[in-house]
Amino acid sequence: MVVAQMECNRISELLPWQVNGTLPAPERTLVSEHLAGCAKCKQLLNETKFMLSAGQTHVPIEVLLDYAEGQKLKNFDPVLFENHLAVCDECSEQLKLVSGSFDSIDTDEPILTQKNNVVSLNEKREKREVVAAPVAVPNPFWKYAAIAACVLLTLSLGGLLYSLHEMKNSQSQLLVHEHTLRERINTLETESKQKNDRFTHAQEESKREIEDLKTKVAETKGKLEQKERESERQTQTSSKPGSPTPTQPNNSGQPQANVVVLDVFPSSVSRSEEANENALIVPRNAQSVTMILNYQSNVGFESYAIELRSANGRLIWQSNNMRRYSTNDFTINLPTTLLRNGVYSINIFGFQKMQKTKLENYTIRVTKS
Amino acid sequence: MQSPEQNLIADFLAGEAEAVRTIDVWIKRAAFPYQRRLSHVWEDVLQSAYMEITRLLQAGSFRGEASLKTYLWRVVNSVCLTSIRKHTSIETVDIETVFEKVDNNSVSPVDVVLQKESESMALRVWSDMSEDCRDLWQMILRGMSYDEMSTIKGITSGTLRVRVLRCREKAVAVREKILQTKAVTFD
Repeated sequence: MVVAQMECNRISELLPWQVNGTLPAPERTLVSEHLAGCAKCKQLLNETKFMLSAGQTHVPIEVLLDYAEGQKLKNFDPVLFENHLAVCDECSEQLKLVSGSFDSIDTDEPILTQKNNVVSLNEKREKREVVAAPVAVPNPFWKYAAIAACVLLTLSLGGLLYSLHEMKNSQSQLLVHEHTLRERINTLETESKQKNDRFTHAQEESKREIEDLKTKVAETKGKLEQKERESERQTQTSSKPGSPTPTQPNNSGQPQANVVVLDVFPSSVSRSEEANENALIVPRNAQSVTMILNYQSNVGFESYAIELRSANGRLIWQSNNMRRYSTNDFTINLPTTLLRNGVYSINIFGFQKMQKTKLENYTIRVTKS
Repeated sequence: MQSPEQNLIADFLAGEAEAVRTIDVWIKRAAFPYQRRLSHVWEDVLQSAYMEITRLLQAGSFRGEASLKTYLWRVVNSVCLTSIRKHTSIETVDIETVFEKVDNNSVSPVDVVLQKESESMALRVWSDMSEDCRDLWQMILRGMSYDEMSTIKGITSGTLRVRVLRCREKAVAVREKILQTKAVTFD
């Protein structure tokens, strides 16, 4: 029983395609055989056919014609008609065809046949006296020619107007562009002038500054030369040939007591653990300082020179006619005016065949008490 | 004294060239919108329209209730629409058989009434179906197999067959409901 019900269900699902003839051969045979002995499925087959008939049932042609003519529908429910039109594409299409036919029958336009031949109705006009029935008067062909000419003329005029409009637009655009460019040129010229003015002004200022600087340099040079001259004068005074030797008493020729004498050792020889500086304490009232520069080398040179430099390397005093004593030491006498508080460096050079050799260096720290 | 239209009919039936040409123009104008739709059978349809009009005019069917032009328009449209419907239906439906009986005038007036009732019923049921159901059954009417339909719908053939079955069941239920309503009305 259950197997039979399952068979019926399966057959029932296949019935629509059995009716439209698309069921594959094995299934078609199966369905046919089953239908031969199953009353229930035959009933279902009728229902399926009803469905297909419903899908093919349309509004009667007379109703469509009445509707297209604008007549009241006779013996047909208007609501059903409207509902069916809403869901049936075929009836909608047929109604359009009928309406098109209804419109075309009252027009006077010539009909195009399938071969695109125009059915000439002019013949009817020629025999108007013979025909008593109402006849549609056809349009002469010149009317179509005139319509075509009008269309062409309209298109041409439209094109012409469009061209003129475009030309005007392009001209105005060019003018605007030219105006913009001129404004840009003016702006650039103004900027260029301003830059030129600024440049000229800056150049003049630079010249003025250069002149000022030159003046200052000249003044500074003058001062420097003056100072150099003074310094040379002082140096010459201190190292003038024939002038009293440092070891001699002061230029006053008077004996001088409490002369400051400093035994100076080279920087390479350290006597203490402190730096290689030789401390020199100069009394305030001392006029000169005598230094004994210890030198231990036995190598002799043709001549000797000495120089006194400040801590920053500035040359304070120099002399090329140094002599070496039998004890191998050098002695110098320096006026206290040359020495201020600070560190000084004394260098000894030896000359041999025009070759200068640094022999020794001494460092002294001057402290004025 | 005969009216101008009666004269035209008489001339047409007598083979008067001008009358034939006039009616020919009317027929062609009425049939013109169908030309593309029935292009494959156009000459046959046009010929059928000529023959039907000739037959009807010879039988005196034109009674002057409307103008001759309108009368001819209705006949031509009937012929064209019948041709369209004939070419879009399948042969397995019972109602078509009934149509033929009606056309042949071999059925009783009761049969005609019953036929109209059946058509009305079918139209109501079809209108009440869901759009998806109508779409499925239209595909069946167009001769599609369930494999083709399942491919188009993007569902398995089993699901498709069950859906079609459900649509049929709903439609039959609607038909039963309408029949019951009518029965109550008659009572």
